[in-house]
Amino acid sequence: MKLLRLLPIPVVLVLSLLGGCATKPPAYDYSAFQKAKPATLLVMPPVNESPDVKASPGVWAQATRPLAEAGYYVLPVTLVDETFKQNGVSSPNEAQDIPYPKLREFFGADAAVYIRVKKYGTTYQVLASDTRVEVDARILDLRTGALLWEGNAVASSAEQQQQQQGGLIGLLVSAVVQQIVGTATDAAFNYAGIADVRLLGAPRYNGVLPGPRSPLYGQTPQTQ
Amino acid sequence: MKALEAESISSVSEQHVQKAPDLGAKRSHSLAMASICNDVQGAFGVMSGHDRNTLSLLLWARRVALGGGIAVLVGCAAKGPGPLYMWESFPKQQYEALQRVGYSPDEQIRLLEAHAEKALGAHAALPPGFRAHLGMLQLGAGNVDRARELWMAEKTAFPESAAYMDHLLKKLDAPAKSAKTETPA
Repeated sequence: MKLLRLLPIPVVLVLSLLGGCATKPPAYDYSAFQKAKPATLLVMPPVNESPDVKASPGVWAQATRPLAEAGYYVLPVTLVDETFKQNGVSSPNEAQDIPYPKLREFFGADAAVYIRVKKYGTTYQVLASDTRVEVDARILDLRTGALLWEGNAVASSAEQQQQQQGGLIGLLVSAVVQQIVGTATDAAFNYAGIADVRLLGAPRYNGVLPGPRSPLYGQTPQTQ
Repeated sequence: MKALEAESISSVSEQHVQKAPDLGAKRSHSLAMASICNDVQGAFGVMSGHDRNTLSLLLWARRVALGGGIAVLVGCAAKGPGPLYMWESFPKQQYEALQRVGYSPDEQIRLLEAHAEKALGAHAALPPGFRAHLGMLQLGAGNVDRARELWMAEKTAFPESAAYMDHLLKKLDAPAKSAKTETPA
């Protein structure tokens, strides 16, 4: 077969691609996470550092899916929002400052997810626009206050522009992104969805561990 | 219906992702190789050496490899089963409810009930919080009994929610303080 003759070149390319994965940061220390075994998660209203007022609801609303698909019960964010408001907690900053035993008492969750939105929205330049969502998160055990996990993620429309420059990775990401762009008036909300999956989805290298409702629950964390 | 549109689009990309693991790591790697190989040839202008069949095979391989590649990107080799829940436009509905403006609770109740019916027909599970959210909307529309039912149903479907649901149910049944509304406090 003609294909076989061509193998050496692709092998090198694939290895270099894998090399990209291999040079990732050192493996996360999951000992606290594995000991805590959280099942119920309270996603706190995300603190917004961007100028876009839709950042907090956008990132918040998109956080449930990856965590639920990762095997956790996620408390309904709209009711959580209502509960905070009714108790005079009007901003995400205020909510995130509430002492953890109080949260445990109110919501009965095992752990809380504290998200910060660092960038959110579209910036317009002369020739191009960039829709970008940057988030980071910490998961705290609400029974002990221990830090169980932290991580960060980015999603950007510039990933698609990389593809036009010929990068293989850009090509692959754009296949996902392309289908989203152009259909939504609220583009950042879709990128919030991508960013939240990259931030909170499982299994991912150094990501959140699969929860009790996942078929992958209890398996050793991904090491590559 | 923008919400539904956006949702069906995002589920298309999910299907790609779910499909990829079925291919098996080896197969998708080799296909990825074929794909890259195809690109390299294109770049070096050696395409002419191929007959038609090989070319179409390569194009096909490239398409399949793209699926595998996406899986690599999404999870850096995410090997997982299919989704646990049927999401439809639920995240979008929550987003709109969180913003409290420009959405109609009645329209949302209609959408979510259609969603629930679809899930029932497909034997798919409803996501965590779905029943609770719908219960909140029903309460906003004055249907206290329906709200109570739905919050109980959330508890049954997800016992993990019991503490919070009990908290809400207690408030619902406290005679004086049942004036919970949709509007910001």
